[in-house]
Amino acid sequence: MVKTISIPEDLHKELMRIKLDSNNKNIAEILKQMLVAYREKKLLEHSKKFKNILKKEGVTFEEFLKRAEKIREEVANELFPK
Amino acid sequence: MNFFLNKIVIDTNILFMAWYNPFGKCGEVLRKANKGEIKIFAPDSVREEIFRVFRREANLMDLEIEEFLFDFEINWVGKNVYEKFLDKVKVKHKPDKPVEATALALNCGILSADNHFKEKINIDELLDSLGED
Repeated sequence: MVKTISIPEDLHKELMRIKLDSNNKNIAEILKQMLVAYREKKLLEHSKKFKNILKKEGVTFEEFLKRAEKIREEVANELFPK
Repeated sequence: MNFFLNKIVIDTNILFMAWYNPFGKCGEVLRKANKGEIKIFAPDSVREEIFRVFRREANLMDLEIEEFLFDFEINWVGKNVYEKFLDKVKVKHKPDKPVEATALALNCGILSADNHFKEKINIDELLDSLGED
C-alpha cells in the first residue's frame, strides 16, 4: 500500500535532485536512508543520555545491571505470581 | 543450535548494553534492526522492567522513557501471545521465562547476555550472518 504526503515544492525539488545524484530508484529509498540516519543519531543521543544517568547517579554499568536484575525479578513476581 | 536469524527475541540487557556502548556488538544489532535487516521482538515484561529501572534508578518521567524506546525498531509482544508457552520453557530462572516463551511463540532465537539460557544466539554468528555494511 502506498500513501501520499504533501511537501513544499522546494523540498520536492531537493529530494528529486538527491534521487538523481544518488542513483536511488525512488524517493522512498532516499527517505528510508534518511530514517536510518535519523535513528543512528537518536541511538547516539540516547547513549549519551544513558551514560549521563549513570554518572549522575554515581553507579557503574555493572552496578546498574545488578539493580536492574532485582527489578526484573520483581516484575516477574508481579506478572507471573505462580 | 541453528535459528532463522532474520528475527530474534532480546532481553533488557541487550538494550542497556547497546545504550552503554552503541559501537559495540549490541549497538550493531540495534543498527541492523533500524535498517530493516533483522526484526527484534521483546516481551512486555522487558518493557515494564525498563520503565521501572529508569523511573527508580534515574527518576525519569514515563514520557522520557517512551522517548528512549520510541526510536528503535523493537516489536513488543503482549502476554496474551506468549502466555501459553510459559509452561514449555526450559529456563529455570523465573524472570527469563517470558523471553523464552516469546521465542517459542514466535519460533525464533534468543539474543541475551544472560547465562541462564541454554540455547541462545551467538552474537558474532548473528552479525556475521547479516554481513557488513
